[in-house]
Amino acid sequence: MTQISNISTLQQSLGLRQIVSRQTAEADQLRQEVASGLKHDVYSHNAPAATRSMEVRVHRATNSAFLQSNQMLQGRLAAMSESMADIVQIGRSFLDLSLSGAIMEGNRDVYRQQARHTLGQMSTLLNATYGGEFMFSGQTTGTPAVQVVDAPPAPVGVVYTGSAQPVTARIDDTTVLHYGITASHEAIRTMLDAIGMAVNADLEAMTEEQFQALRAQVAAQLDSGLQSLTAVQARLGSQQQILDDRIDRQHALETLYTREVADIEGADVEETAVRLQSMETQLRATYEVTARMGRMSLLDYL
Amino acid sequence: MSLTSALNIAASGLGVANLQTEVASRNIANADQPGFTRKSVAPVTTRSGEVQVGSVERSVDAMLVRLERAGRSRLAAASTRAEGIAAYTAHLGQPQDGFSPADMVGRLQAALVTLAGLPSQAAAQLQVVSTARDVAGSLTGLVKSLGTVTREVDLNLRYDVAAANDAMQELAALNRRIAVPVDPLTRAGMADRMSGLVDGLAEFMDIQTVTTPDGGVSVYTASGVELVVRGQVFDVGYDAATGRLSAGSVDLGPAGTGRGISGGSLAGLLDLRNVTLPAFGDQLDALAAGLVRAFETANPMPDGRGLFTDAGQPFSSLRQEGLAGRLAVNTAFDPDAGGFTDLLRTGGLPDVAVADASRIDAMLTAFSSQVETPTAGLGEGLTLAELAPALVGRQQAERASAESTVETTRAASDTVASARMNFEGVNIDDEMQKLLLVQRSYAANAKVLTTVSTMLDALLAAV
Repeated sequence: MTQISNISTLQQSLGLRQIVSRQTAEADQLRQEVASGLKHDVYSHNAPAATRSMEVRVHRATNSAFLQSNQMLQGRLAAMSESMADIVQIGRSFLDLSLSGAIMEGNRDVYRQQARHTLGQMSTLLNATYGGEFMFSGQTTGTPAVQVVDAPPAPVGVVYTGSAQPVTARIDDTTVLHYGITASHEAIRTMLDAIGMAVNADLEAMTEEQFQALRAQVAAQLDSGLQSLTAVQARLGSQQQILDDRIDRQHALETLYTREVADIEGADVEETAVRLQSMETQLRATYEVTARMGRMSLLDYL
Repeated sequence: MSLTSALNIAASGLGVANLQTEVASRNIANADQPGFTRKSVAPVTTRSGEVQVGSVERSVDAMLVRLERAGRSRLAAASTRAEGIAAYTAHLGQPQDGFSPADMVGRLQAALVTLAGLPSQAAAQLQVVSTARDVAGSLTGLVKSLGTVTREVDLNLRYDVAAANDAMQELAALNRRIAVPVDPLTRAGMADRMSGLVDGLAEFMDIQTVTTPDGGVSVYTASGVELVVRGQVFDVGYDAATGRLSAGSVDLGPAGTGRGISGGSLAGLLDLRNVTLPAFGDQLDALAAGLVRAFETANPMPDGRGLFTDAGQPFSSLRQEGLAGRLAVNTAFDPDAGGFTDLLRTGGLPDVAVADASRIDAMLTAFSSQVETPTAGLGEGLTLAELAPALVGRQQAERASAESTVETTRAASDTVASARMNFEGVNIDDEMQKLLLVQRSYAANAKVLTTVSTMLDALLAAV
């Protein structure tokens, strides 16, 4: 007997419904990808790459936090550098005064007053703050760095109220920057001691030779302090350069990380749009076939 | 006498045509019923030339049925497992969603970077404590989600076991009934019902069947454990306390005597209940343990506890199981619980300078240090920063792999299922053509009756 292969009416209908359902779901996913520019499911696309993407996101967040923190530090170092330049300038002015022959017997008091004024200016600069924190107080940024004690008959003096421990800053995952200078640094101490010598000496009682010897001693000590401070300034400049370089690198990393995440998570919009168009064409064809098959029946001819 | 024989033969033809019409109408009426098999009348010719109904045949291909049921079992196991995993991993999200534990741990690390630059700033300290709370909340939330999915799996195991037992009981009852002679159409209907029940069982477990000569069906698991033998049922049982599935006294779990099931929703649920979900829980515990231990080492308080605690207690390797559900921020740091955020900087030690960020640095360094605690298979030599992405990536990869298995299994299963449905199912147009043939046969037999009757009348008139 001749076998007639059977196509079940129910299977025919279910098959078409299944095709429409799959194509609709796929078209929906493609639409989402085109709209968002991101892959619908990164893990099913490439699970190891998705894990890498998460790691890169963490690196990017950390890098971004370092970048912000370093930009603040950059401002702090610039303020510190400016204050130090001012200190050097004030010190150099007093050095010039000490070396010049302008101070005569009759105006030695002017020299002392100038020394006292210089001490006050330096103390003000050493107690400068940035963002509410004392810059030259070492790790005790909440307390002033120095205090000038001027209570006659005791000699005028400078008390170091800050910490001798220099401040540090982590500027990336692996680098800790020991930056700046504390008010109790040897160079500053030498300068302040030299100026203190001029403030506290009994200038009126000195002979001209003794006064010249004092000025020479003050000038020598001040010069020594200034030279050391210039070296510290150079180190601070170098630290600023390191920080600037690190910030540049972190900007570059930010771009790289963002690109890597986009490469992994992003959908190729052009390719997805083409696939979507093709899928919509297929879907239209399936609807057409479904409608035609629904219309064809032997019942219409009986 | 030949005219009388002709009358009888025509009458038998009408009788068969009647039954053929009934069968065709049943086929057409049930054409959209899944599981309904196309029936056809097999007529036989007697020695006297009459036509009789030999049997009503169901259109069934035993090999296709076996293949389709095997595919059905595989698909049910794969899709049950994939759905269970997806129900949990939905809480991990995609990388861009930003609410996974990896994102939270990343935010904590970034907050510590900010704090390292401003060690004594209250807002920066609060940000660290707040993100630490988010990390703990993320892990405890995932543990709750895992618990919800596990309870759901447990419930489904009970439902499926009950449904499988009901199906087996009904099958056994039908096995007893089919042994009693009945008319061919009723018998074919019973066979359809039995086939439907066995199909249903194949969705619960991978099974094999043996058909007895009287039409009864005995069902065994693929590994040969008796489920239904004629009228006898070996009930399936599930022990929620141990996660053990059995039929009669035989363990059906993979850890049993090598006679476990590997297909059907029950196999998928068992895998979720006993293997996959507990492994996910262990991985969450490993991340929690890594966090508690790393912060205890980096910035310990005088009492030995760090930023994270095991429900207020320090880390103990003996209590690692379930730790993710108990993970909490040390209340000593938490201002909402009466704590002090400045402990992040001081570590509880006196006279620590306000700009001293060494303890914060130590906490930051902990992220790039190797995790000391067991990682539950997430990888060897991982750092704390890598642990959370590894966890999320591993669990999502498991979900993606399970979904991919479903797609592959479905493609193979659908092909066989279509072939079976085409072989067994009804084509309405074909039935209408058969009906036209029956109609013609019926009209011809009726005409024979009329003609013979006229001939007999003519004979009687001639007498």
